[in-house]
Parts: sequence; C-alpha cells; structure tokens
Amino acid sequence: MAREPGDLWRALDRSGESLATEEDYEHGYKREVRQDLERYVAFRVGVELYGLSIRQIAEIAKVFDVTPVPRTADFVLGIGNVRGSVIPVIDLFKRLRLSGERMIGRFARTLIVRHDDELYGLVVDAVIDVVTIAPEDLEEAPGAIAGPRGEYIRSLARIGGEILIVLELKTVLATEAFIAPGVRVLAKEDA
Amino acid sequence: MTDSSRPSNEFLTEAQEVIEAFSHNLLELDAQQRTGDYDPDVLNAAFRAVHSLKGLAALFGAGPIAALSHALEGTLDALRLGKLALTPRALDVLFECVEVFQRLLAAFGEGREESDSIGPLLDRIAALSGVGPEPAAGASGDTIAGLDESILGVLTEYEEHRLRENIRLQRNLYRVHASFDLLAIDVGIETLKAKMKEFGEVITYLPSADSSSEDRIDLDILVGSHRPIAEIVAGVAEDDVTVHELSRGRTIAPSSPPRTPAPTTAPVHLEPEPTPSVPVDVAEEEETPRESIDGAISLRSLSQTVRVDLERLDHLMNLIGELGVVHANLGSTLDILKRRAHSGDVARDFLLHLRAMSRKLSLLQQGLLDVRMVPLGQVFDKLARVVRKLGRDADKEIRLSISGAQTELDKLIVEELSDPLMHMVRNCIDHGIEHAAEREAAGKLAVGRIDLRAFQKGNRVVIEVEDDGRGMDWRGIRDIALRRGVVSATEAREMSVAETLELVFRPGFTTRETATEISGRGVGMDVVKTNISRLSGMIDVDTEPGRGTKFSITLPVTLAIIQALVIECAKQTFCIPLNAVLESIMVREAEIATVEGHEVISLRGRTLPLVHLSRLFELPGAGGYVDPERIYVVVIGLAQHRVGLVVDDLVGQQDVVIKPLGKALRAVPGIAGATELGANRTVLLLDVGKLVDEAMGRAELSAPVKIGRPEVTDGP
Repeated sequence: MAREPGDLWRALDRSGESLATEEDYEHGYKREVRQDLERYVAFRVGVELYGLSIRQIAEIAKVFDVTPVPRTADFVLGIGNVRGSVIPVIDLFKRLRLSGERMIGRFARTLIVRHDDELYGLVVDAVIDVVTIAPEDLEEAPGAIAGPRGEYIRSLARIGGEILIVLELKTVLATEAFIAPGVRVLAKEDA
Repeated sequence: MTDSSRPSNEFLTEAQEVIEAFSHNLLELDAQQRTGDYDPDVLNAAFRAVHSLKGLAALFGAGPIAALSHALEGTLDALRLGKLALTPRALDVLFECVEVFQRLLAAFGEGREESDSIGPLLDRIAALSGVGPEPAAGASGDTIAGLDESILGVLTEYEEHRLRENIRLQRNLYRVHASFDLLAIDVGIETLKAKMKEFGEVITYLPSADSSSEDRIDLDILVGSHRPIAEIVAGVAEDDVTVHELSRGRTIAPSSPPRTPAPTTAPVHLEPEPTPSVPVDVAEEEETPRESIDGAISLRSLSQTVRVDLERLDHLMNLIGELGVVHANLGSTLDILKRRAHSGDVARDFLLHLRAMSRKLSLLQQGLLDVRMVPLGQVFDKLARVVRKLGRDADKEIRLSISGAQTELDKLIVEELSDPLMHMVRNCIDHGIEHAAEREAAGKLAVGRIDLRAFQKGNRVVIEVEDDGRGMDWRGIRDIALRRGVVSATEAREMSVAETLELVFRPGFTTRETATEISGRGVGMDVVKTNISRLSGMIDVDTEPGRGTKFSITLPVTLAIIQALVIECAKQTFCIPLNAVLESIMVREAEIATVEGHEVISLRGRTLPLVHLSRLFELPGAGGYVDPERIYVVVIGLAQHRVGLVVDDLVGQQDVVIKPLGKALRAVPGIAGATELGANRTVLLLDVGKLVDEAMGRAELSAPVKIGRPEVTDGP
C-alpha cells in the first residue's frame, strides 16, 4: 500500500534521525529504527474505508451465528461465543449510522476487538489490508466532519488517494449505547 | 494477562493474605486488650506477618509497602518486648496501617504510584515509640533474681520480658520437666505445648542438663500460670513429665512410675557425644529445637495449599461445561444408534459408558465447585475493622459478634458481598444504634450490639445483620414516601408494614434530610438490593421499633453452575434458574381471566398474574398462542411475589455454566447472563428477580388510582 516498511532511509530522512553510529554502540545504546510506526487493519463498511490499530484486534473471524438479545439497541446483533467466552457482536454499519448501499456478502468478517479488557465483535463488509502509518501522517478529524458521526472518528489518514477513518473505540463501544432507548437500566453498580 | 505481570500477581495475592492475617491478629488483640490481658502469641503472629510482608515487598520492589512494614516491624517488636504498651491508641495506629497497606497494595497492583504519602503515618508510628518504654511495674531485677541463674543466663530478651510480665501478673512459675523419645519429639512437644497453653503461658524451652539416655531428649519448660500446682500436674499428667514450682521448690511427679524408653522404638545409633551439661553450651542450642519444630510445621502447611488464580478455575469450569455439552451430544448420537437395526448390544454398552461418564462428570463438577468455596470469615474480618473505626468516629461503643465465619460460599460471591454488607453495617451504626445516653435511658446496655451471622440453609446461605438499635420507624418512612410523592395517600393508607419497609429498597428513596430525626435508613439500600439480586440473592428486612433491625440476605452457594429450566418463546431459547421456578403448569386460554386489564389465572385459589415473555421482551413474531388449549406457564417468584411467565414451550432441565455478558450488556434488565447449550448454541439466562419486580411495577403503574411515581421511567 502506501509505504513499504522497509524503506528505512526515506523514513529516517523524513524523521530527521540517523542510523546508529559506532559511538552509540560504545555507549551501550542502540538507536532503534522508528518505534512509533503503527500498523492498522483497513476494512470497508458501506463505501467508506475504516481502520483500527492492529493492537486493538484480537482476531479476524468469519461471520458467525449470534443469539439476539432483547432490549438492546438496533446495532447490537446479539451475543456470540468466541473460544469459550460470550461476547457482544455489533453491526458497524448500523452503529456508525451509515446509509446507502450495503456490500455485505461473502467478504464480510467479524473483527474481534479488545476494548477495556473485554472482547467485542464488529461485523464489517470486508477486510482490505494491513497498512503502516506514521503518527505524523494522521490528522485530527477536522471539526467540519464532526456532525453526529464525528465522535466515532479518532483521526484520518490518506491511503493511496483514499481517506482512511481511524475509529475511536471508546465512543463506538460506549456501553450506555447498547441498551435500547426507553429501557430502564439497573442502578449503577457502585454508588 | 501477560507473563510479565505474573510475579506481581503472586505478590498481590500473597501480600493480601498476609495483610488479612495481620488484621485478624489485630482484631483479636483489640478484643483481648479490653479485658486487660492479651495473648503474646497473637502479638508474635502479627509481628511475623509484618516481617514477611516486609520481605515480600522488598522482593517485588513495592517501596512504600516495604518502608511502612519496616517501621511497623520495629513498633511491633517494641510491643512484644514490652518496651511499648499496647494501648488503644497504639491499636488505632496499627489498624490505620492495615488500611494504608491495602491502599498501597491496590495502587501497586494497578501500577500507579500511591499519591498520598505514607509520611504522616510513619510519623505517627514513630510518635508511638517516642512515648518511651512503659515502666515495667514492679518487675525489678530483684523479682527474678530468685530464679536459677542457669535459666536466666539463657533467656532471650523477649523471653525475659515475658518472664517479667508473668511475674508482674503475679502468676506462679513452674518448671515442667519432660522427657521425649527422640523419634516422637515433634508430636510430643506439640501435645504438651497445647496442654500447657490451657493453663498459662509457655515462656521458654530449655534442653535439660540431665538427660537419662541417648535416644531421648529432656526439656525443661518454663511456664507461667495462675493455677495451683496440683491442677497443672493433673492437666499435663503424662509419663515422663514432672512439674516443679519455682518459687516454692515443690516437685510433684505423676503417680505413675517413670517409664523406661519405649521398647517399640527402633534402635537409633547416635554418635556417642555427651549431652550438653554446661549452661553456656545450652545457651547456644537453646533456639534450635523450637526452630526446627516450627519450621517443620510451616513447611507442611505450605505443601498442603496451592494458590490458584480464579481465572484458571473459571477456565476449568468452562471446560467442564463444554464436556457437559459433549455428553449431551453423545446422548443424541445414542438415540440415532438405537434406531438402527442390529445395534442392540452396542447401544446398551454405549448407554452404560454414557451413564458412567455422567456420574464422573457431576463428581468432577462438584469437586471443582468445592475448590471455589471460601469461608465468609474474610469479609467478616473486614467488617469488624469497619465497625471498630466507624463506632469510634460516631462515638458509639459497639460490640460486634460474629458467628458462622466458617460458612463457605463461592469466592466470587464473597468478593461481591463485601460492599453491600459494608453498607448495611454502616447503616446499623449511623442510624440504628443510639448513643450511650439514649440507650441507657431506654433501659438498654450502653454498649451497642451488632450480630453478624451466617449459616447454610439447604443449598443456600443466609447472612443476617442485626442490631439492637432503635429500629426502623415505618410510619416515618411512610410519611416521607408520601411527602416525596413516592406513594399516593390512598396507597399509603392501604400499605402493610412489610410493604412500607420495602420502600427503603426503592431506587431514589431516601430519608436523607431527616434521617437522624426519624431514624430512617435506606440511603443507598436500593444499591444493596441491586447488588444482592445480581448474585441471585434476596434481601429481607425485619424491624421492631426500639428493639432493633434485622436484614437477612439469602444467597445461592455458587453462581458458577446452576440448574436451569430451558424454555422456548417466539422461536428463541432461554434458560430460567430452577431455584426461582416454583412450578410449571399448562392452562387453556379459557381459564385466563382479566382483572383491570391484566391477565390472571386462578391457581389453587390464589390469583396469579400472567406476563408474556414475548411481549416483555418485544420478541419479533410474537403473536397469539401456539395452541390455545396448551399454554405453558412457568410460575416464577421470590418470597411472596409470584408471577406466571407465559412461554411457548418447555424444553427440559439442564445444568448450565453461567457466563457473564460483559460490561456492555450487563445492564440489560431481565437478563442475568448467558450459557452454552449443545450444538454451540448461546442462550440467555433470565433474571427472575428483575422480571418479577417489573411485572409487579407494571401492574401498579396502570392501576387507576396510583399517581406521582417519579422514579418509574419504564418504556412502553
């Protein structure tokens, strides 16, 4: 995709860093090649391209059967069993309140993501690739996009002429959104 | 969980245990100290606990914990050497240390620096020592001067202190001479020690100079006791034991003649080294026999217990659950096999093995459940600390009596219980128990009393928290509820006492502003109720004005595996915990009557309201009855509230492993968890308590005269 991870010299050139010198080794210090490059899984939901850091993803699975849970929001598909633990599975298309053509089909996958020490399943239309992005190539989401959906965007990156939206799991998986509107919730656990 | 976090996890659990042991010792000391005399062994145990905590903390780099335990160790050493008096003030500081230890430990566990410095506490500890040694009353050197020099010369500082203490307490000193078979010395000493403890305090052991033979060891044991010599002789009566009273020099031997070494003893060939006969030699060896005994015992106890992460047990539990599913699948395979021709013999064999497997499976399941059980004592100890502290803060003297601390519950439940119980005990102290003056005026003992009881009742455990305070004023509660619009005037008039008391569990109900005047409780009691019902438990309250209040919590012994009734509704499968199912019945549509728009049936003369699970959950495709002549009703309920749940089909009963739903779905009302049935099907488990509450609330909601229910925000 956009950049080869092996393209060391260019990366160094851009970041203003140099290769480790003999002196560095003498001091017992080995300068690492850029530690801050992060790999992202790029996937498609509707017509848009989204990404999540590979560190947040535990597994990419085929879409599996789920058990619907009553009294939950429309985007909650239900619960499923992943290696012995029960996890909620959501439809990202509905969660992101996207509209338009759905491309869901045999390319659809469930991304098993880890958030706040728990696993969640996110159903996406297709997984595209794994890309490496340097932090300086990520832009803050411009306020103009914000609108109602802006809260789900952590940052944006340009990948081969297309914009990749890095999702903010904190808001996408906000627990209070899971309960269907109008249902009375239990008293909070620790008052 | 990463591997790098493991050592610190081990540290956390071990340190937690040590701190709990320390706290337990302190509570014991606190109780004993009030009677004026305390068991030095408990103080020693506390000292040892802090000492090992110090070692642990240093090993795992928990700096603040190490620093605090280092300071504390010094103080405890001074206490046990009598350089410092065990005053209530000293105990306060020690108790504070327990709290701070726990905070520090939690902070360490989360990998953050504890922000509040331990500096002030260290200062207070130092200040304790600054008080200076309490003059050992009357224990001048003269009093012990009369003792045999050969004994005094070999006493350690601690032992000498204990000796002075015993003299100060005007106990008689005895020198018990015992002879042990070399092979049985461990057991012999332990038995003798246990017997002596009943009479007084064992100050020291001294290997005796005059050993009668090579395969025996003679010990002199210095004992301090209030009892007369005759009683001690009678108590320790055993061969090879003689008792001397040190001050008067009387010697009494048991009436039986001294026995020669037991003939059954296997010959032991020792090196012909003479037994030490000079006191100086003895001094060097003085510690050895005791050390080795203690060492052996602690090693043994270590090898018998294994610390296991709860997660690993959960994993095993899951595997057993999955084995259960495999078992069920094998059962259906057998059914297929039976239908084939000429399969008789094989099928019979298969069935036999399947039955054996099922038996072993349930044994395995039971065994694993037993492993998860821990005594409630852990939580009770914590509560005892709270009572002590809060009682002091509120300036009320309170005696806490605990029974049933050994009652066992699933570890998970015990952990979850600590907050609700804490809350209830706090309520007892804040609102229940009156000040001493008020109590005396009411003709009660000035010291308040809280009883904490736990006991098993069938396959459930009951925990009671009872105080002898002023009780709950149900009229006051009713008036407040009325004033706040929680209930209407008509409702208020019709409410029974029990119904009124139930109001304190309503969310949003509080008597906050007037709590002290009308002795109202209920601040946050709804949270307590929620927590308890999440554990599939229930809570009841019973009160008598002026006499006290009793809360009873009933809990299942475990949550990990339960029996469930499997039902179907709108083509979906659900499980209902069997302990909440009273019965299942079948009715015809014609039997269903309507009262004020609610469907009811008459069951053995009582009216039972019906709710449709499909409508409650708004399940898709929910329509009329599958067969109006065969409507399945599961009667569910807790205590006196019962509801008939209308479902489409009853599938059967099954043992299920409950799995949590996770943070996101935990709050869905009416769903308690999920479980696996055969064929990799995930099925929801209903929260019966919640559904019954809802059904009741709904019934009230639409009744014509009810008004002003601000806290009800149900959907359509």
